[in-house]
Amino acid sequence: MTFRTIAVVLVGTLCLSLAAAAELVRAGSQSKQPVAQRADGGFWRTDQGFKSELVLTNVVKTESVVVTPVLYLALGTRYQLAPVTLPPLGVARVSINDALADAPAALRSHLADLGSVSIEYIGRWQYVMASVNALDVGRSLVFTSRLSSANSRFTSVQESVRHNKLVVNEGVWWRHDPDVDGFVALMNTTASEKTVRLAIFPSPSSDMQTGASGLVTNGGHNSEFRVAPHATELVDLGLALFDKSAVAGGVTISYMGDASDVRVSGGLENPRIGYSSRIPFLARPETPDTENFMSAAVGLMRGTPDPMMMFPDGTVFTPYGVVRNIGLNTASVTPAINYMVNGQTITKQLPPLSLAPNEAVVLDLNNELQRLGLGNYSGSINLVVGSTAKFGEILFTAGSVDKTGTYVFEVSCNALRKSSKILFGEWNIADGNDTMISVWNPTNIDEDVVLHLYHDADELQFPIHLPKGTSTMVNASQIIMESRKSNSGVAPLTAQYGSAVLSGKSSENVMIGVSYGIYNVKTATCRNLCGACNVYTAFEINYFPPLQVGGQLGLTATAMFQDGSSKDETFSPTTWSSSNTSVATNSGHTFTGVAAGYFWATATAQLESGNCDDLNKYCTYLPPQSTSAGGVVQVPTYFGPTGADPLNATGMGCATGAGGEGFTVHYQVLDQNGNAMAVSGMTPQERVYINGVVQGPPYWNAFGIPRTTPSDGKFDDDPIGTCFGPPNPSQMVCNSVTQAFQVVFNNVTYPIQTEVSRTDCNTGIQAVISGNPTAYNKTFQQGSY
Amino acid sequence: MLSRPVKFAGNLIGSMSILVFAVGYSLAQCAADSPAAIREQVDGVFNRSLAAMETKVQPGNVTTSTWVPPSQSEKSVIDCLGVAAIPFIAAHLNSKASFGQILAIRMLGWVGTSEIVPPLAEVLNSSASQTAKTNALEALYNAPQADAMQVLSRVSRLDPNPYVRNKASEVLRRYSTANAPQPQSQ
Repeated sequence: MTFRTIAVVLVGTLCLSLAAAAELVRAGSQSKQPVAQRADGGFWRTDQGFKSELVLTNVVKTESVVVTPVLYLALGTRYQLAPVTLPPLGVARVSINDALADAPAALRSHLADLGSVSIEYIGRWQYVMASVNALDVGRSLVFTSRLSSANSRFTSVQESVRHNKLVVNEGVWWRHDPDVDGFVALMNTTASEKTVRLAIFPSPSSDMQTGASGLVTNGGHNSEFRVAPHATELVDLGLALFDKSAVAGGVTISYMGDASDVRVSGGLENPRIGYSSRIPFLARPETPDTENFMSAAVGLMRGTPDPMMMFPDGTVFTPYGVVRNIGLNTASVTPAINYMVNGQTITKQLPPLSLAPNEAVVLDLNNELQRLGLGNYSGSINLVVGSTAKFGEILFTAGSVDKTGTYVFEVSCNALRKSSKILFGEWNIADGNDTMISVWNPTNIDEDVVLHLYHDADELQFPIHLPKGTSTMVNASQIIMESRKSNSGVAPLTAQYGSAVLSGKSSENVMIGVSYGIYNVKTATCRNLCGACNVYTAFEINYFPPLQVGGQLGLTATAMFQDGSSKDETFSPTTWSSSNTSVATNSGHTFTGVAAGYFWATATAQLESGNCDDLNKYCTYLPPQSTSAGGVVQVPTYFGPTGADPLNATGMGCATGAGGEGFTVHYQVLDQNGNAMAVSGMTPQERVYINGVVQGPPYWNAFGIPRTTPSDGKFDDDPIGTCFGPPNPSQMVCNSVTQAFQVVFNNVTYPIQTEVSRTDCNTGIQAVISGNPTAYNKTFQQGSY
Repeated sequence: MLSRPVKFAGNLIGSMSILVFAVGYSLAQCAADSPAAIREQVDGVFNRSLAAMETKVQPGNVTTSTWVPPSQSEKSVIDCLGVAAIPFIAAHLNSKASFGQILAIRMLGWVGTSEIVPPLAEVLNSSASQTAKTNALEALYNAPQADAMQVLSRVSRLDPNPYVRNKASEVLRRYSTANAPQPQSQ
């Protein structure tokens, strides 16, 4: 495994073969191979006036991707649609209503007015963000269902490991008005029937219990559904059965299997007034988080909206917030609001709450604003909720709704964490749509971010300067209109939709709160888009050459991200270590060779991971990720002959009339493992014995051509051979010559194991090179000897 | 393990005496201040180095010369004399002795100044010895790049011996490697 190699595992491999070690050195530069990717769980419906549309966004800026959408009809029948090619950063829409209308005859008898959609494609990681928008214009209802990767986070399908465990998804419902009811769609993504327990209960509720089936029950409505393979079960919440005084409550969905086996999508609606809202769900974490919950809903609208947003006169918004404790203990919850008056940021604490397990409350923000003397405040507020409970134990959702209930702006509640990029998937200003982004700088330093609007190869960048503590809101239509007016020299975007990314000014990490949505005043619909983190897809130490004793190398580490970008993670806060300090030590990323041998260099960095599905806590940096690469410290040990060119007496430089033959021998300096040392500055020296008599003193003399090696570590011995005469004797005459070697490098003398035994004759020559690894023991000969 | 001849053990005292003599000789003689003195030192290095290569072999008591690299002490003498030694070294380029021309070429390479280029260029023009030419190319690499490049470039294109042309190209490539930034080494 190339990535995230754990040092502990590697310690045991230190005794691996030389070849394997060399392979591991190279492994650091490998990248993920393309594999089958899948995302599923998009709930679509075409009943009543609903029109469903699949929106696909390629978040990768370097590669196109071909996506195959697959519809699963209510009873599980598979209907594969035509592939869609998405260019880099491209967006495509697929009308599900049209696809159903064009369904092949063989499928006609299976057609249904609801189901799920999945997407399939080949990619090295998750390239595609996808969601289904189910829009009923006539009734002003809209529900968005986001597809989730069929495996955990960003790993490939093949890498995922299926579990058979209790999976619990927790949701929260609330009543905007007494007539609100809701639904939950249960989508079985597997080829097996799944038994799913659904519990719907008002707050407060009796304690949760684990029933005989192992699934969760409680004091509300409890139902069990057997969902056929790939089928979708649409369940009416039946909120009308609860007492009208219950304004909020919980939905618990549980089953045995893997977290991706059953996808859940839910909504609250009052079609009579055009109210619709999504039910947020959160999968209970297998292990409790260690960090206290802290989340912000940014850009809640209060009062009369900005005229730029083109809402009808008289539209007045009221913010709402809903919190549910899904932990096992009572949680203290501390809400606060943050807003701006005359350019000044003001923060007010709201009364703390104590929530029993399963308890859900609707925060009465309007009343609190009145109490704070902000009864007439019109503008944007940020709602921050902290708790003694941990992430994964609190469900928090918020938004704004107008007094008629028809305009509902949901807001993604997100943890305030540093992030280099947030991928929104879509911007849209077509057909009365507009795209709104609200950003808040909760820090005490100024932040600079850039909103990137893409359409295929075109890009419009909109910089946003956020002084400390301030908030602002911008619309895509406004940005594009201004860009068309300006004379920046950059071609303005002419498209009506595309993909959008929010980043730090220079892709550096920034800490901001953000909400993002596409709304349509005409149809009175608003789709909140949950920004996805630009998660890392690989983290690796870049290839580095062998070290030499006393030599230093600055290693580098690179993280690759979902959008195809990469980032140098060499420096702090990345930490570095050496597995074997007797071979190589390190100071930061600089490694120094100490002695011949192998070592593992390990880099540990905090990298962005997580995604929108981790409601309330995405773009996290947990835990630190490590990657290792094998290294070797070389010492010169052999002179490996790579060839020899014959010389006659004249070519060798003998006097006219002399006899003799010779060679130019080409050498490569080899290390202790027989691997080439491509290093400059090594001075080969030899000691020569002629007929058993050592030549000298001094006995060791530099003989290489060139005298010190160039960067390839190669040199010639030019010439080897003996001149006889003149005159050249008429009979064969020979000298026995032996060459022994050493090499001086970095002022250290290393013995060389190679030896040359020669028979130099006036009629020929033989040179036997021995003492090397077998492949480098060679004999060169010509003529008679 | 290598099995090495050990006959030199008996000559240890004599060898040490020669070593002391050689070191003292080079240090003392580097202060040569006349052309004659410089020539004497150059000739001394040349002749001693050639003598170190010579042996007699039977039958026929044939004089043989086996290439043995000159010693560091001899190189030190030439290093010390520097550019003043060049004319006297160049005179040995026409040596009729076995390995005489190659030895002179190497001695020019030790000096490594611009002045070594013309005599080495002449060797490359005229020598019949492949080894002399390849040694001359290496010696040229020790000269300032600006002076050596033209000769190396010409040889890489025009020398009739493909081996020599390749060697010249190899030396030329070494310049670009040496001048290239070393991204990871410090």
